[in-house]
Amino acid sequence: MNKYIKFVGNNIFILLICCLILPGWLGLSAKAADERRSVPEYQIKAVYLYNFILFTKWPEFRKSTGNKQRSSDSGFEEDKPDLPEKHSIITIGIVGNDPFGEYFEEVEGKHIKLREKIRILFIKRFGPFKKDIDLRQCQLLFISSSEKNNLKEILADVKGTSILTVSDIDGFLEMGGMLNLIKVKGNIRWEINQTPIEQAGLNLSSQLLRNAVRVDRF
Amino acid sequence: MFHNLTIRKKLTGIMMFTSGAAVLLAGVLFILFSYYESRQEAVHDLLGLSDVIGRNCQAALMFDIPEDAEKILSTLAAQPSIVKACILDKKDKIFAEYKMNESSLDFQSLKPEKKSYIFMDGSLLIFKEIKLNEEKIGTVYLQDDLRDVDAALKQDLIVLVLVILIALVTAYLISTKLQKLISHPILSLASTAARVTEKKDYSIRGEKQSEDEVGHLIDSFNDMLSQIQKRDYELEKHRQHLEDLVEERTIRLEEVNRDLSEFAYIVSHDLKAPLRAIGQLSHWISEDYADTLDEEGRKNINLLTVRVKRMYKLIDDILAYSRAGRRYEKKEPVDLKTLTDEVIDSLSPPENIRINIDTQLPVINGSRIHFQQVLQNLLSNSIKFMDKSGGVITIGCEKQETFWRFMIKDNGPGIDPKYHEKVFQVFQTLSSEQDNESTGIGLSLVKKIIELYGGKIDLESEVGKGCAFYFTLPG
Repeated sequence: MNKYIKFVGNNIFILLICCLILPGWLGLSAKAADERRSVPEYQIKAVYLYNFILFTKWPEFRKSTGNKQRSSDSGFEEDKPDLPEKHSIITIGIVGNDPFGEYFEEVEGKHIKLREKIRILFIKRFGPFKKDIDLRQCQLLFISSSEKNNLKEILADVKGTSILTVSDIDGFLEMGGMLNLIKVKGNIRWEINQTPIEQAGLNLSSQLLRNAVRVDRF
Repeated sequence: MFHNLTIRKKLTGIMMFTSGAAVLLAGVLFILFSYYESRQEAVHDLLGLSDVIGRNCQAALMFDIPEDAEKILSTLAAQPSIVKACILDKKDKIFAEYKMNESSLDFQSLKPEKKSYIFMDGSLLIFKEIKLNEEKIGTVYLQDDLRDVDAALKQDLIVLVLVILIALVTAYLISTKLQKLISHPILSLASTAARVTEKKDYSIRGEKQSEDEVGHLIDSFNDMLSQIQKRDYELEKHRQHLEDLVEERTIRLEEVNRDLSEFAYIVSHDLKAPLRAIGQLSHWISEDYADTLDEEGRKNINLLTVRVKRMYKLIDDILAYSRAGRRYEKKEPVDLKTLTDEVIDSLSPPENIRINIDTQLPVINGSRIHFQQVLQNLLSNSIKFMDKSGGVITIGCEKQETFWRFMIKDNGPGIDPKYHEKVFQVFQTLSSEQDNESTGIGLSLVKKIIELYGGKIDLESEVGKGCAFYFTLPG
């Protein structure tokens, strides 16, 4: 008799829990899947750019790869006069129209440990490409699709530096770009051109290479 | 139980028990240590493995590519002891999993606060955080069923049992040899003591084999034996001396006794010759001078003759007495019935005395003359002192164990108890000399003869009612 009551009691308890939790969980998971799908494309891409920094090793970190004059002109230094000397920055540059909007807010100013040194992430919006812009102030350069026509010039400009070039323009790799973001089955993935990466002395994590849709050489 | 075992078994047992306990303790400690070690090793290995997996899954987590993480987890197939593995994202939701269907363990609730591993139900659970840029981006969860640790433990146990067995056998072999070091001296001492007791030989000595306590014990034992031996020797010396002394005295006593008997015999014998001459002369005088002697003279001559006869008898008795002590007469079977009849005949008792022989009298080995003297003296005493008109003398005999007990009883005047001892002494008569011809030798002669045969004589009497003599002779 006791056993029976206990059994029923237990089962009722479990049933109650199931009734309460299961719909919530199902809803949550559905929501997560929905969210992933409903997240704007460039929000995901912004996260990807940030992630690429974490999986990339630069040959050596120069505060500025160009001449001092240009870097001091940029006003870049002025943005961080209050930073202690041991801190330096790592910059994501965006050339062309900024498709990200506020999506970088979350990661901007974040501390990133690279080569045992804490660096602060900055986002530098260059605006549309012009001849006098010093693109070399950044370590990762995203070329917006608006600069499709200036692609050749931009790539030529950063050649010989160790800037990681990223874009989502078709044929980016064939033009000599390093990392191209593409859409595969609704997910954002990337493809890699090894040749310029090696020339720039960059070292991409094997995990990036492994998960690339395509690794090629142009 | 243990107390009744032999010293050899005790020693062997003690050594075996000691070494067994030591080996067992050492073995158990070793196994505990090795078990702990192998668990720690498993933790270390799995933490390393999960670290590698975690690092490899960084991109998968960051770029939200679960397939990559699953691919990485699938490499765990090479490690069958890992029964469960999965990657959790930074919110601890399952991101990728491997072999997850096999167990329903709700591992997410088991995650310890500080440590990155926990032992649960014989399994090792690993929770290794995946970090990137010093931020937690996910967790590697591994569940290992510790089959390698169990196998190692099992193997260790088998080895331990084997080691203990080998150690015990070795300990047994060694202890049976080594226990002799202690038991052999003790056992040899024990057997020496037993031999001493059994043979009463105090010249045996224990053999000392070592300078330890047992050695000292053997020394003390030997000292004790020496003391006993010395005492024995002195006792023996004293005893010998005493024996010699006794023998010497006995010989001297015998010499004196023999001399005395010899003297008495010779004196009696030599006295007889002049007495015979005196008797002869008085006879001659009474015959030859019968006419010339007056009444007074004849009376005196008669008195002289009577006194000579008495003197003669006295000397004869003394001779018999001394002869009885001198040597054994020739021994032969003597029929006491015939002898008693002969003695009664020779005594020719008067009409008023009746002699009854109650029982059958036996045949006894001994000297005929001795028995005759005994019967004659006792019966003649009874007849001689009979004071009643209807006198009755009873002779009886009964067998008692190894001897015959004889009785000669009369209803005469009896003997006062105060004289009972005196009557057996030489020259003691109770009546006045003029009364009769007793010499005072008869009863002492009887006593002497009875004692010569190892018998005893005593008497019961009441004055006026009679007297009974009892004596024993060997059957």
